[in-house]
Amino acid sequence: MYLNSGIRPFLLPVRGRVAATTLAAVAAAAFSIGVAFGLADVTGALLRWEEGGASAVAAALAATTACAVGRGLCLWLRDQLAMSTAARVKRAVRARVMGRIYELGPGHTWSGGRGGVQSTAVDGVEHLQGYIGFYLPQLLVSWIVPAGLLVVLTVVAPTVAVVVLVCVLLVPFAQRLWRLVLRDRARDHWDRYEAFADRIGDTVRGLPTLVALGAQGRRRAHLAASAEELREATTANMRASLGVSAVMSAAMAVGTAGATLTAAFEAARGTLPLESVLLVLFLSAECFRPQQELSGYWHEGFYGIAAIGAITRLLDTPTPVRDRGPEAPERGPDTAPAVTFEHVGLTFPGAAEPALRDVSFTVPAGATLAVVGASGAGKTTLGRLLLRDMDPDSGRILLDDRDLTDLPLTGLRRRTARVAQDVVLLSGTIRENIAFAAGPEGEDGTGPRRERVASAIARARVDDVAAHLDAGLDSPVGEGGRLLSGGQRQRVALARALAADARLLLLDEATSALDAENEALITEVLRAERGTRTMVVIAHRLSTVAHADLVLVLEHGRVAEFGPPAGLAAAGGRWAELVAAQRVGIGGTR
Amino acid sequence: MTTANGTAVSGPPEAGLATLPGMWAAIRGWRGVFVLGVACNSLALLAQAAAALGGVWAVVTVFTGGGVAELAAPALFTLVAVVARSITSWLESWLSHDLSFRVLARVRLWVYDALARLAPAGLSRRRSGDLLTSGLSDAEALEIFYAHSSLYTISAWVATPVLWAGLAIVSPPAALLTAPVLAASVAITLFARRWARPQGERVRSALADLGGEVAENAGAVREIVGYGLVRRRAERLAALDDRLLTAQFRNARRAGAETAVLGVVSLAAAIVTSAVAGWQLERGTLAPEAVPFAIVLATMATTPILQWAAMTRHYGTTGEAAARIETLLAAEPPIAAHGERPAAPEGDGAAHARGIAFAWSEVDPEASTRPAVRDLTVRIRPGEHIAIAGRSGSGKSTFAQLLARCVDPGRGDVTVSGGPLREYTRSALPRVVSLLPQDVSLFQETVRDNLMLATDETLTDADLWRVLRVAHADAVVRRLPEGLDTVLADNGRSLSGGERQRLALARTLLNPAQVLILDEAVSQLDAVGEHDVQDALTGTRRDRTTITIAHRLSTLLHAERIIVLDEGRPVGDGIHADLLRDCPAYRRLVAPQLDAVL
Repeated sequence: MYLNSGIRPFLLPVRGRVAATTLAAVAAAAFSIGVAFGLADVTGALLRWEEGGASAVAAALAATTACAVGRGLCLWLRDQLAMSTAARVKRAVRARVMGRIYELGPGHTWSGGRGGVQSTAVDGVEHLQGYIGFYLPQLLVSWIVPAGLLVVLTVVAPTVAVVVLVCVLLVPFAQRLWRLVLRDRARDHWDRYEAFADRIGDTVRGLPTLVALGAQGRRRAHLAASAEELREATTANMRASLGVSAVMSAAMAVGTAGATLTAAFEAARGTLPLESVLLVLFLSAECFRPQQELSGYWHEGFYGIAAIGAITRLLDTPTPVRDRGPEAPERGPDTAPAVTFEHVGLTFPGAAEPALRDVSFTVPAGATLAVVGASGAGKTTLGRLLLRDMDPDSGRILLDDRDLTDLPLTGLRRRTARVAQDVVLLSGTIRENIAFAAGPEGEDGTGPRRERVASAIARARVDDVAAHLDAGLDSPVGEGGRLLSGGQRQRVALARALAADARLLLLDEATSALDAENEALITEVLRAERGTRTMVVIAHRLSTVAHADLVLVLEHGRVAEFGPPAGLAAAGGRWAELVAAQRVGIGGTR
Repeated sequence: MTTANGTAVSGPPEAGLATLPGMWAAIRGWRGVFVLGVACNSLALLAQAAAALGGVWAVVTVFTGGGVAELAAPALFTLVAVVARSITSWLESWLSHDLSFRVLARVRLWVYDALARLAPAGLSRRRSGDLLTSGLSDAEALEIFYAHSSLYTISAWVATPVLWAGLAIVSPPAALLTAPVLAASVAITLFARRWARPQGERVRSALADLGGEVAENAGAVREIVGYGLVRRRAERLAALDDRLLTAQFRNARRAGAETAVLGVVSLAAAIVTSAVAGWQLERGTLAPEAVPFAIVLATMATTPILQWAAMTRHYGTTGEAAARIETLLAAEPPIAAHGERPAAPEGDGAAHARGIAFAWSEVDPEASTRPAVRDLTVRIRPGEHIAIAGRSGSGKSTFAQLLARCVDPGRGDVTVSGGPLREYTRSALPRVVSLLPQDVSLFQETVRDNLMLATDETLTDADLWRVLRVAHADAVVRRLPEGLDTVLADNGRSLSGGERQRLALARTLLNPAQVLILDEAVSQLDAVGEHDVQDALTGTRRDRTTITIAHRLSTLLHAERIIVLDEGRPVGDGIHADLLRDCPAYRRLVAPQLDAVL
């Protein structure tokens, strides 16, 4: 039996439907009992055949047929009710899971990666269908129907009722006992089985690497051998863990046959009327049918519990930032904000060293700040704190004069835009990817919005990209943008950020793509937008930094230097060294 | 290839995968287990019927005035039947689980082989999620068919006729009239299967789209919340959810109707038998004691059919899974057949591309936006260290894929180490030329196994440590709890990006390829000192030709020779200083960076 307290929130909104499903299943069982009574009647009449008995047999047969049809209808109804329960649960839970994923926001790192999220929100939610729609009602039926039948049997033949009761209770008891005895071994078997499936997935994902290494054959042989090893190692365990189904089916068979034999013995001793013996013959199987059907839903029960665990864990994950809520729906001042960091510090959970410590600086409204420093110095973290992917452990960040944590998240996000290093495009066309950023949802495609999109496309030179494509701006970008090259993706992302018309722009410059045109483009944008937007550029190249008003040099999470580039160069500190290092690196071959 | 376990010897069958002949071919080597499983399940079904008949015997004994002593025989008979049923059904479930494990491994290896044949260029057009679906869940669906449902199908064909024959002995007319009922239940089930398949496909495709959408949302949380798209994305998801539910409702209506109708039809056997028994009693051609036997036999004859129907109710999914695997097995690899030429151990690593032209639309219409290569001729001398430069979209990666024979050029040819690429055998090719993808994978194996993937040779620990030292990865491995024997978690996630790349680099060093093509990984710059990379790659094997698709200025500055591509053609060839002077495309490429610094 698979039941735990975690299902309450999932079950409560659909308890009525679950009850209706159960009712339909119980009604079907009642009709089955009707069939048993009918067949007992028919058999009884036939066994003591006398002239003119045909009409009694015909009447009993008609009643039996009616019950059989009724049973069919109830079963059909049960399936439809179960499906509608499942539909309601799945829709609600899927929306909640997705909503939670958005609430957790970009600051949350998924331990299972995207695949983990997908398996919880899609496969996990699908498992609720079998669990809440079918398994739970059947679980109720597996108690209600035998209980009702036992009452009937107690009236008809008390000793038979005792035999049936013992066997009916034996099934769940044996199951539980078996699981207790074999708990670890059975789990070990399934765990290893799953681990092997993982391994196959791992191999399939890594195929390009295997081909490059010419290792597909070696890997194949290895997989085949380990599959066989695994099979041999777990066969004994499996034999034992399958024993539970043997015990269960034995209990059911013993119960059914035992009831009939008991009734026959009673009748032979004269303590039970013959009619009752026939009734027991046809009825005793019905006592065990619900349990047998429940065991058919074993997978639904097992996976349902696992899915509920995973979904609950996801819904209970604490968000990295607390939203002040929508109490300030206004768009906020449409001017470039000043940015102030005051003694900001952050240590990632489990990290030995803080990612940022005591970072303080101010960027005036409309100025451009370049953040430079070695990899791991905390540049990206600083950008993420600025957009509130997460909050600092200490200190505070101000936008104009307001603490970031006092701003509603939606308002903050409307005022900011970013071009990340790892550009993610949504499937759709190039134009769609830019247009969706151009305004709050629901805004119609009227003048200013369209102009903004057109101007963003022009400024990020996306039209150059489109000119090379057959469908131009209406070319699909593919899953995650895979149909575009890295440089093309970057431009679309830049256009998207410009179209959003946010007054605070965060640019995380790509470290690698040697695409001078894109690089020139970024410097051009920096120049053009100077003054109208506050810009923070996480810079990897000195060429972009040359256009910044201020430079922040980070070192091991601390501010090493801060000031206008010219001043820092003259001071001869870390910044001057960095510039010199790049010069030497390039000058070396000249 | 191993033959020890039979997993490797058996290829996919010629017949349709989801048919009984296909199944018979697929379980080659374990047919005995299968037959035993069928026997056990048939016996279990018959024993179940025997137990019920034992009960009837007892009841009839009482009805005909028998005392307690007369009940001993039917009681013993029933007991034996019950025990036999328990044992056979346990044996059956064990055998079928054992078989299912073997079959699953085999089907997965077929899928693996098919994918390996297509990799890497033939895989890029497939969504990563789809690949895993075929690899894992489709294989599972097929396994259920082979090891479970086909077994029940055959058992039904064994047990039902036996029970029906029993009925024929007791009451020939009842058997005669029950036959159409049994036939009807088979026909209804088969008829329902015809609907089940398209319905199953609709459910699966809706699920796949929903999965894709959720994965996209999860990967783009930053963009979705950042640009205020939450509501719009929720609406899209709800629409997909609706599509799925509509498909599932349709499926549920069909499956529910099937269950209901089959339930009624199976009871019809008992009802028909009862009616016939009445008619026979009237004429005196049947003893009254035989009646309960006839009724129970008629009921029991339908049980195997019901079991089979329940088991194959999800045939829709099985059929579609089989069809997808069949498509995958039949997929044309992006490169034509391999030749007969072995890799010459003394191959010099010279590469010569002669007038090659290639457009991606030749292998995948969807990828027509990917850069093409036009009339490209390049000669690379043995042991050279070349950098390929060009703006994005200039065809650098396409050229690299042609050099490594991930795809074949539409025109012209490529010769490496003296042999045209098309002439090398499949296993020789990676020893001649190897293209390391940007995002190399580490596998969930020990560090040692990960390294050894790159080579056929047996290496000592000392060899491995030497390579790790060259790749500056020795410190990483030393920090791991069990050193070389540490199992790396999911794609090495327990390691930092830089640590992963160092390990991957060490593995690359073990790769014996005469020509190594590297797509300069984006993040390696930060993680591994780039000089370390260059030194490691060129320093250890002076004789090895390396071709780097350059993304970094410093790579260009230090390259022995740079080939500049533009619009799929070479437009420059030389060292940095000369190109800067003579090649406008190169100047456009690097000048802004140089200007900024100098």
